[in-house]
Amino acid sequence: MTDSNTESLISLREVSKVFKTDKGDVTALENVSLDIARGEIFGIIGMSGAGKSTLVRTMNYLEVPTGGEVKVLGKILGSLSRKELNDLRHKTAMIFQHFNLLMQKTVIDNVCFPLIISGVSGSEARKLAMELLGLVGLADRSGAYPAQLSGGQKQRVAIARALATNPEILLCDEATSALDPQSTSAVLDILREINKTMGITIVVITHQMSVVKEICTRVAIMDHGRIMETGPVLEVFMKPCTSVGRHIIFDGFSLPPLDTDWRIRVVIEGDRALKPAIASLIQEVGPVSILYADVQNTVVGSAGQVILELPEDEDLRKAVFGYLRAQGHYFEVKGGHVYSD
Amino acid sequence: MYTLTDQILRGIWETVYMTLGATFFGYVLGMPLGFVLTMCHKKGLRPHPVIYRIVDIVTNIGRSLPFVILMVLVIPVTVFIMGKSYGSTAAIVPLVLSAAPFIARLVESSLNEVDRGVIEAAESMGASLWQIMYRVMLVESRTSLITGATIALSTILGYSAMAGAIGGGGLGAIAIQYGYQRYDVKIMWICVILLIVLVQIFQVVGMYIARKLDRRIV
Ligand SMILES: Nc1ncnc2c1ncn2[C@@H]1O[C@H](COP(=O)(O)OP(=O)(O)OP(=O)(O)O)[C@@H](O)[C@H]1O
Ligand SMILES: [Mg+2]
Repeated sequence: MTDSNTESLISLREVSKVFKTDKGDVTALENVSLDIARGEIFGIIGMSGAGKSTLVRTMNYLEVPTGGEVKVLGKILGSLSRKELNDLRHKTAMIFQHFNLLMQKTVIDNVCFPLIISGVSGSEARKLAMELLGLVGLADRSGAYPAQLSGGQKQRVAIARALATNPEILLCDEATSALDPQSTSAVLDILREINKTMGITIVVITHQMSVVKEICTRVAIMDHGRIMETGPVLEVFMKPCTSVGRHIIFDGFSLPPLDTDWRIRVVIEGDRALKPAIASLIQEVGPVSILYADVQNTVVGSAGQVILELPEDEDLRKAVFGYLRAQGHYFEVKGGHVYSD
Repeated sequence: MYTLTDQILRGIWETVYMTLGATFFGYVLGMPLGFVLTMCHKKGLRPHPVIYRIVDIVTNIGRSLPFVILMVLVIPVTVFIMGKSYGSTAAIVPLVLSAAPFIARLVESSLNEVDRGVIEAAESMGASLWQIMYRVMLVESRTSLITGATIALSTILGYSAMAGAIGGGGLGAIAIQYGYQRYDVKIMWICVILLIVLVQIFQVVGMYIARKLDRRIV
């Protein structure tokens, strides 16, 4: 799995987690295998209860799996002593949906916290903490208490705190789910920035498609404790290959459903190719109406998609299909049947 | 002989002395027990059903023993520790033993109020158990702990008045001596009012400190 330039920082093998509850066993993870490489921003998306949080929490052993193996930064977590695990955790920071700041401590003391517990002296910790607060744009609020900050500001403090021990991995569990759109994009900008400048590998758990679209390079779709599909963001977004994936993507982009035999969804690679491709389809084959069209821009490239309503004419449909195939476009019809080369 | 005023002043001092002394040592004993209860609970950081059960039962027994009975029961212990069974200092022993289980429960419930997410964040940063207890739980629950301490003080002050009945001194002893043995109801009422005033002072000061130290209020 590992070669010279794609070193796997996080590697899960057949990881399972069964919660024993009063009402019986709950299987939160079922044989999940996953590799995340250095420098990636890896997204994990899925419905509520899919097991996303449980999965990301196995990556720092906040959740101890009931089966399988978790390897992080070359260490098998299950084989570490408590002390060794705590040392490793300095390198795998985490941020949370509800920020989880110390409410009785000032902003700067919150950022100092991980440094103090790892033995850095007070004055040195404060110096570093001020730098980090500058990085997240909150240097002027260092003396404030979390209760005096907005949600977006709290999450930025949490990011500064997470960066304090100079981690290699940042785990984000629904880090923007409690934020308004402006704060969300401010937080995402910071994440993108630290990935680029510090080379921190980021794992992003979310149920918001837009978050994945804006920062992730690869994504996995989870459902019922399993990973249904995984791949580069654009690939999974445009060409989901499972019904769960299709459902999440269609819902996430509010696409009109392919619920008649006369509707098709066509994917056209590249961001400028969409209009000419549809124009020439109409010119060459005949009149089709456009129900929906968009271009998805992700960090790894762009692609357009269009949902066409064909006239109820079998011959014309055949002609459209023939044309699309000849052009090498990917398209899908009702029931998820896909045509591609 | 002492004048009555001297006696009452001395009574106030003895009451305050017993109360603060017993509260202090009550916390020395009860605080660790409270931590054990929180940590060893099945939802705690180090679940341990056996230890939890033992401490749970011991504190429950301690709390359900009426103070006057406990006071008599532990006389041998008091004599062993203090060398005598009467006087304010000796009274601190039964006061501590009866307050500690109660304090353990107060501490347990304060610690359980700490947001699980904050503890988890500390764990995710690699904090050790001690660091979580000392730097997270103690800090985050301080308002609640102080509120609890004012409750503990008031309760122990009430117990100390009972301790007066068997030679512990303090306002309780004076109240009983004059009110019960000499039918001097006036002195008894003075003592009762002084006890109420002391409770009020503890309450007001405790609540003030708790509020002053709470940073969740903007
Ligand atoms: N501590 C626990 N005890 C029992 N069951 C749990 C526990 N934690 C999670 N579960 C169960 O495991 C499953 C997966 O939960 P998880 O929190 O990982 O889902 P999620 O994908 O993060 O959902 P959400 O989007 O709502 O956060 C759910 O059915 C949940 O009820
Ligand atoms: Mg979750």
